[in-house]
Amino acid sequence: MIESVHFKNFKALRDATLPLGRFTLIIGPNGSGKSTALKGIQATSRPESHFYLQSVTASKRGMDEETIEIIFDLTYGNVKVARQVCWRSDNSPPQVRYSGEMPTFADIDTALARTRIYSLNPQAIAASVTLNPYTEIGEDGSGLVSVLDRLRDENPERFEALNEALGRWLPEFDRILFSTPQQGMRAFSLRTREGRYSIAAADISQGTLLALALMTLAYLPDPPAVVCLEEPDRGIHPRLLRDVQDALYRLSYPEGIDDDRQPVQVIATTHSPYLLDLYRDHPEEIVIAHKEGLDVRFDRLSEQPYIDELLHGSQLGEIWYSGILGGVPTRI
Amino acid sequence: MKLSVFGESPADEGAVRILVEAILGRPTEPISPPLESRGWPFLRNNLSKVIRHLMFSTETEALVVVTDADSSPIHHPDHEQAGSRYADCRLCCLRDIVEREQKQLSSDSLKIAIGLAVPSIEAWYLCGTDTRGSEAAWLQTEERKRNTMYRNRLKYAVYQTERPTLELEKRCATAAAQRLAQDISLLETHFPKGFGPLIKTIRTW
Ligand SMILES: [Zn+2]
Repeated sequence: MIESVHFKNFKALRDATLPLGRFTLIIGPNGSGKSTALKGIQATSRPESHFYLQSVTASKRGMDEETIEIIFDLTYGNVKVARQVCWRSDNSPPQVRYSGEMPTFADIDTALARTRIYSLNPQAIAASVTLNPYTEIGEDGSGLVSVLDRLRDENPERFEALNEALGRWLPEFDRILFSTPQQGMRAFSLRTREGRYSIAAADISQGTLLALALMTLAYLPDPPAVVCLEEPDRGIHPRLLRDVQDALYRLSYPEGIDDDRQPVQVIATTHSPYLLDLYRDHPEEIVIAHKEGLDVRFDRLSEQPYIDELLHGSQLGEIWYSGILGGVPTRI
Repeated sequence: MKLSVFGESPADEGAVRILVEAILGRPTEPISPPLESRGWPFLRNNLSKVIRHLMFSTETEALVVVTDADSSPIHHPDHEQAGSRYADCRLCCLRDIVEREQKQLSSDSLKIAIGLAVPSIEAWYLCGTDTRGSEAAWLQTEERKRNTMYRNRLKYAVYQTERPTLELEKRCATAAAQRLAQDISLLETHFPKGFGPLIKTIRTW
């Protein structure tokens, strides 16, 4: 698991440390480095796909001898390891260095390569695709139909459990159906509980498509090792946010639902006070991104002094919205 | 009886209905509250709206409200003497709201009973099976100052995880309520301050 990430000169993150747990929800104003942190985590998992110039902090651009560094403090079993990725201004290939006691670091590289960032887009989720058994859910949710099709064939129990979850979360529907719009292509639709009509993906509401993509991710037998989610609550009705929370916890705490697959480390961002309310019992899972001039600071909510007193008699989201905790937009 | 239950989550509301039916000795007809609760302050801030909605837009005969006490002071019979209500006591706070609404609407046609789960409804679910299932256990524990941690431990004891899905919450809450409904005096004995006032009111219905 990644315990923390230290960023140096990576875009808006000039010098910042992001503490992480199995599940982390980052809150903060626009431009406070939430999305940048997710991009940095992804860049570190596949360093060769990123370049110095596109990622260096604006104020450091053109300076010689500067480097971008992203350091992961990891625990692997019982062993603590630091993994440093460094991009130099001469645009030489990125360097990956490890420190810590490990016989081999290849396993960590392999696990980290399975880091995925998602910023789901309803149109991409609904799109029909050419069948490809190796497709996974894309950054925008594309390829979902292929993944569902494979789940049905290879893990029918999980597919049935997903259908049941669909019925609980979105009771107007009871089943995912597939069709072949043309040879080699696959499309999906949802069956209405009442009347059993098939509603084509293109005609399904945006919130429903987003919910379906999140649910599918949570029911996969082999989800990515690290899942970064940009605003998983976006487009979803506030009443359904508990289901969003359940889907994310399903990924990161599979033992709680008797699933024997490996836990997924989930890092999500949000602007929703309603979603935040649901994490009242786990303030250690909330990280507040503070913007201070050009710098960004990440603090765990559980480390705020007097957090119990602040929470007394108030909703967590309401307190955050009020600005008492910081991590809100300011006006000049 | 057409009954609405307003609690901190849909899972609690289902379990509380089972307990109410056990007290009444007859089944009830569910009327959903118009709002899905999101914990204490939300419940306090929206109780008036719920009462008005149920009175004017439905044929609801009775409303049961149950909230977690968390780290707030526990209700005491002294609070029931006129003029001595205690502002920080959630039971007193909800009673004030109910009385104010009934006065403003000049009607007490909607029967209302209020319960306080000390420190959270999971303690009720543990009653009779775990030493933490009583108000006394909460009052005696050194962990009272660390309310969040204690709540999470109770959750773990009930759901075998600190992060239950709503589905799991509903399943465990229903099973616990069905067990407790067999002998409702168990809750009355172990939760005299928070469950006591609830059962007392419902018995008058
Ligand atoms: Zn009181």
